[in-house]
Amino acid sequence: MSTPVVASPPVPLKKRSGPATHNYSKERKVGEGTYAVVYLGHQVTTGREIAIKEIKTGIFKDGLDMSALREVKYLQELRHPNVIELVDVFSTPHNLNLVLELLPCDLEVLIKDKEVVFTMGDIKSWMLMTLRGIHHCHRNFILHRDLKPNNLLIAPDGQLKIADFGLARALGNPNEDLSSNVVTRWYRAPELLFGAKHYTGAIDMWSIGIIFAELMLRVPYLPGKDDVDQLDVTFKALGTPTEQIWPNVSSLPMYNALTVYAQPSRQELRNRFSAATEKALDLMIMLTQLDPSRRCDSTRALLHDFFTELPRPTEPRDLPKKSIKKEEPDAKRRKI
Amino acid sequence: MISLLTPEEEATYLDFYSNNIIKTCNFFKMPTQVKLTAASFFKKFYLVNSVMEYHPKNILYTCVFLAAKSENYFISIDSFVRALQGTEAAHILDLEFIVLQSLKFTLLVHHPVRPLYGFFLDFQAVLLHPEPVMYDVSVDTLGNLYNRAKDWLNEHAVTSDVTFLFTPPQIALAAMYDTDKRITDRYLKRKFLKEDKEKLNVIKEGDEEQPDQNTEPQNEESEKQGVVKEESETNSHHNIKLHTQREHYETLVRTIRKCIKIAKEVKPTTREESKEIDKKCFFALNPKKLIDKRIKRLALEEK
Repeated sequence: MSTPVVASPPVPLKKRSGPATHNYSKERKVGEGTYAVVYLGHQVTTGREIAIKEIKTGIFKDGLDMSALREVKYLQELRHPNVIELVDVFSTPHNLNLVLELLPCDLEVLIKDKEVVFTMGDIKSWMLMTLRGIHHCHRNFILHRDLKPNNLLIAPDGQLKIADFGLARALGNPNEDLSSNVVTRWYRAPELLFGAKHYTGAIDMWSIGIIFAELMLRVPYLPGKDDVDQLDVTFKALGTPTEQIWPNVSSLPMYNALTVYAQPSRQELRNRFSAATEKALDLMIMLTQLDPSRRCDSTRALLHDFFTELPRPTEPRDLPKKSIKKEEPDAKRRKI
Repeated sequence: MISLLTPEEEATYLDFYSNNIIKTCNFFKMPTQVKLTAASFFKKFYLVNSVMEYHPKNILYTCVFLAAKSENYFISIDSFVRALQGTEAAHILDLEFIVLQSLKFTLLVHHPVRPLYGFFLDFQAVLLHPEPVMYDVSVDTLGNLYNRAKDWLNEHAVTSDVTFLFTPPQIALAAMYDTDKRITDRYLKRKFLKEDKEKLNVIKEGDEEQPDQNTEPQNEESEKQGVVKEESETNSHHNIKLHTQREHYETLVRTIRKCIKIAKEVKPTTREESKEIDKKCFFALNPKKLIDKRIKRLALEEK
């Protein structure tokens, strides 16, 4: 007779989920950059769709790439509905893998999609989400340094999320010199164009101002052909900075008052942005102040009257989506 | 049997190498920020790994290299390795990923130096403006205090465990407090206890100006009673406030003292001591060498 042995199930020590590698599937390659390949996949346990940024290691002479390190460093610190979520990080023998939430669309795609109509409510909603995201970065003393429509991603539920922290850096040590060679040219603030070695969150605010303009115009606002042209284009649109409107500007390393353009009049701006209300223009002017110390910060921008006047910002889920493209009928046919 | 290192030996050994981080960073003239981050990486690495798995020498260099990149003070691997003896680029690059993994990919480290600078500024605001509070304290005195507190941090905070146990501002205050207790204590008292009469008045006025926000304006009839009540409430409120202020102050001073005590507990490790441990460690890292040695000895004995 065997005595019934009541085998108590072994109490698992703090369950160690297997190597993270097995928790994610890489299914489809969707993009390849200089230092990373992006795959679509799923989180196996939850079935959640995710994107995996596989960072190549061992191909660079100096080890892990700086942008990859920056991206990991700052995304680890930030959790906000309007900042891309870093779900996990894991390593395979030769790669560093960033598991990011899947964000299928971006603002650039929408701006270029001429079949999509933007209402002022839509623009307000995107601006609000962008500002909330950047406010979160700035209050954690992190500069993004590469804001542009292409880096503002859109989640399936319509939420806008700031992505690509490859150029981000911490702010706050006044002794350190910063590089002025940051931000994609069209969205680069004048102090950067003049080679400033010390700057603040105001450079991100400028980018947001230019994006605001682009959302209304549906074409890039200040498309400079090269760095010199960028100065010209910028000042033609917004006036050449002088000592009067921007004290000490002439002491910046690369300052030169090429051609002196006058400041645009209010009426001139009204004509340029025919859809903008007076409040919208006010906000735009505050965001595109040439003097960074006069430019408004994220707090003041978020509290601006533009966001409380009608129309209300569109609910994220009701925001315009990418129109069905011409290639899509194929896909449809296949389904039928 | 291989005799393994005891936890104490391992700790002593690591202390010895922590000091080398500072030497290495100083050699490359790296900013303080890099030095502190490298030291933090190194300590964190050995929270989850053992010196018997990874020898600290190359881990140390890897931490410095990675910290330099993470803190925007890039140095190419070639010029880095050229300056170090007996280390090849591959040694460091192979370990870089392992270190990053052990850090759980967390690269941002908050150090006490920034809050220390903040306190230096606030000491000036609180102790010198609008007029000096202490007859013998000037900007120079505070500047001197700040510099010595920085040295204190380099000497005690980088290598000890305090960074795991206290917040960066607490450590910064500990440095100030241990450097000059009199000035720091005066600052804390002014900050927390509003010690001066003048200051007390300021509080009172402030309280009266914004009556307790919790008491909702009731209907007009009870308003008169309300005023009387409010006054006495403000008074007891004020007492409670003073009491909690005192508690805050005392808790903080206790915390700071504890921090100082722990920071200073680290004993300097002698070279001889760590050499001894190094020998033991060598066989733990290379068990095969020990076996070979034993076999050789056995073979000799048989003869």
